Amino acid sequence: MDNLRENTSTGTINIGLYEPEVFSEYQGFSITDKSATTEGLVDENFVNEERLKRLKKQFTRELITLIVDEDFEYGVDTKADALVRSQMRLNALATKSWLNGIFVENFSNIPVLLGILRVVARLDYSELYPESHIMAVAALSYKNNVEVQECGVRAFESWGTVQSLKILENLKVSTQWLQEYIDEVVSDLRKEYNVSTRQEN
Amino acid sequence: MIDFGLKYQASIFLVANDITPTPDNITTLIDLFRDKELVPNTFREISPGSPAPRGRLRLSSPNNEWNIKIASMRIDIEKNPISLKENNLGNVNDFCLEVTDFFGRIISKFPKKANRVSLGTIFLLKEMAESNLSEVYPRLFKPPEFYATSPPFEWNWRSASRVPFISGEFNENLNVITQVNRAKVEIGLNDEISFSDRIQLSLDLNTSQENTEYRFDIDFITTFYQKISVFHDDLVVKITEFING
Repeated sequence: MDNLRENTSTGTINIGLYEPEVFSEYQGFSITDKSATTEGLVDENFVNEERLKRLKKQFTRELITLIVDEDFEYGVDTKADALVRSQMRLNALATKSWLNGIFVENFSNIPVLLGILRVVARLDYSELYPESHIMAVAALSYKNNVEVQECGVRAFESWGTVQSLKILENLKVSTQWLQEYIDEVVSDLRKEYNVSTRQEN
Repeated sequence: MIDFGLKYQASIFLVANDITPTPDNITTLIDLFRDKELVPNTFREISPGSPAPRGRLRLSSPNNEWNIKIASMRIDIEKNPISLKENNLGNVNDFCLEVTDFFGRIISKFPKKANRVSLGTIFLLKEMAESNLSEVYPRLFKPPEFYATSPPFEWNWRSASRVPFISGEFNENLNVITQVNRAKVEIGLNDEISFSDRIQLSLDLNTSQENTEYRFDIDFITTFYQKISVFHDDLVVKITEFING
C-alpha cells in the first residue's frame, strides 16, 4: 500500500520535501489536522519550521521597523544587521527563509526592499547563498526604481566574488550614472581577479 | 457542497536540474512572468536522489497566491488562497487554462518534454451538523466492531484507481486518487484563523508513472489540462453527492 501511494500520488513539494503534508506556514497558510495522535514530531524540518514561525511572529515587525526607522550609512553596522546576524547564528536555514519571505512580501515596498538588500549585502555571500544571489539579481531587474537597482549592484560589489563580476559585466542599465558606477565596480573586480577583457582593452 | 478551495496544483515531471538559481535563469524567468509580477526566491529541495537540501528556484506572488516551484525533476504551479473571507482560487477550468499558459512560457525558454502530468486540488466541504457529519463515516467504511460501536471523530478514506486516458497518439493510464478526511481543521491565513470540524476532499489526477519516457510536449500538456478539468469537476460532483447521501 505504501508503495502504491508513493508511486501514484504526485503530492506536492512542501518547502522542497516530497511529503503528503501540503500546506506550510512558510507560505503564509497552514492547515493543521488536530489529530489525536501522539506520534513524535521532532525532526529537523519541524525544528526549522518552528524557528521560522518564531522569527515571523517575534521579529518580522521589529526588523521592518528597524529598517524603516534607522538611518543607513554604507559601511556602518545597524541594529537591523545585528538582529539578522544573531538569528543567522541561531538557525541560518530558517533565517534565510525568513529574509526571503520578507523580500517577496515587500517587493513593492521600496523602503523595506532597500533595507533588506542592504542587510543581505553585508552578510557573508556564501552564508546566504543562493538566497542572497537571487535577491540581488531580482533587484537588478527591477525596472521602475533605479535605487533598487543600485542596491543590487552594491550587494554584488560588497560580496566581490567572481560571480559578482560575471553578473555585473553583462549588466546594461539605462541610467547613465548607474551604468558608470557598474563599469567602475566591474573594472575594480577585474583588477582584483586579474581578468582582462576585450572591452577593457 | 464545496465551501472553500484550499489549493490547486499542476505539476509536470521532467528533468529540470539545469534550471538552477543562476543569474541567467533568474533573469529569464523574471522576464517570462513580468506581467504576473512574480518575485524570484528559493525553496529547499530534498529528494531521494539528493538527501542534502538544495536551494531551488521559486517564483511567488508577494501575496503567495501563485507559486511556481522548479525542482530537479518536476515543476509545480500552485494557486493558494489569500483570504478566508473570499475564495480567490476560481474554478478548476480557469486554473488549468492559466497553468497551460505558464508551462508554455517555461517550455518556450527551456525546451523539454515531461513524462508525467498532474492536477491536484484540495477543498473544504461546507460545515455540517454533527448528525449529518456522523452519517458520512458508515457510507464510506465498513468498520470493525469497535469503530462501529464507537464511531471515530477523525477518519481518512483514500482510494487510488486507474483509468485509460487517450489523447491523440497517446494511450496513457490516469491515476485517480481521492482522499476524504474528517478532521478538526485549523486554517491560519495571514492574521485570520478559522477552526472547524469538517470534511476535506483532495483529488490527485496524474498520468501513470509506469512509462518513464519523456514524451509529453506542450501540445499534450495543453490537451491534458483541457480534458482533466472536465473529468475533475465531474468526479467532484459524484463524490460530494455520495458523501451527502
